[in-house]
Amino acid sequence: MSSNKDQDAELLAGYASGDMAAARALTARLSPMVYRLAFRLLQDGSLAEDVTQDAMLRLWRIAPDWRSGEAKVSTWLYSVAFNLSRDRMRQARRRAAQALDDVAEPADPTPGAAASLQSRQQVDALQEALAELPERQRQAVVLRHIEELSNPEIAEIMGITVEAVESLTARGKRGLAKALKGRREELGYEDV
Amino acid sequence: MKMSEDDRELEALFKAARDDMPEMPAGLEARLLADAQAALPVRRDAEPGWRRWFDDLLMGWYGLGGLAAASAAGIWLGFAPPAALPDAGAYLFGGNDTSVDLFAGEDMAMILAEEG
Repeated sequence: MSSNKDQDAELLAGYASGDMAAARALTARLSPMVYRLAFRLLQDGSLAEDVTQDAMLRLWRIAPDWRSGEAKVSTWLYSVAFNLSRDRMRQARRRAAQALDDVAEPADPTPGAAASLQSRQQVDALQEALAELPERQRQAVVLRHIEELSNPEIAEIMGITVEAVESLTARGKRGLAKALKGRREELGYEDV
Repeated sequence: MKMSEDDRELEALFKAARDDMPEMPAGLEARLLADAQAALPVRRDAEPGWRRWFDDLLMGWYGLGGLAAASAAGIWLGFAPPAALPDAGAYLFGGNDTSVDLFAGEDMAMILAEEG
């Protein structure tokens, strides 16, 4: 998450008064974060791209009405990206349910370049284990442990209490540990 | 496996995921900036003062266009009024009197007689 909230709000105010340089700076600061979150929630590069474009468009449109001090621009944008990703996920699930007879298309994850084979295996194993978690647990774990947001920020983004966030992340981590138990050797961990 | 062991191992996986940063696709940033350009609000404070006053008063060029059309129509009617209308120029500048026959040839006496 962007560390300097005032700078994002100032840039947004600059854009609202017609300054395209402010839009370029905001795009450079915020859009990679939006894309990353959408990609990690959706595991699909082209859907993440759609979410990023949609979320940033909403930011441009709200700029003239933005009220500084009420919310952090980055948290607001995270919320928008989160909700759009959740909607896309549900749409994709509905489409999949309606087309059970169709041959599944291969995923288009276009992941980042993991440094080593072991890192690649770890990332893949984590993604597979995350995919097995219930939706809200997966979202909370991604926001807390991969995006490294604070619990109050996650609570605001997901529209739940901080206690609910703590509960979801704890259950999510237990679910991950269980799902990964059989893969410890493959991931380079010795059984105790 | 102990809980702390789970946490340590999970943290290693989370770190690998954080380091495995997905890159934005080529061309996406350009599309985002094109959207920003298309949605760019008008910079009102960059306009000269008279222009803002003009926009506020007459709703800009649209208002001025309507005003010009109405003025031209008025001038045209002044110079070449339709035959059905009295000649305003004659009234104003003392030309011939104009009479208007509301009953177009009917005799008032006849009408009164018919009504009894």
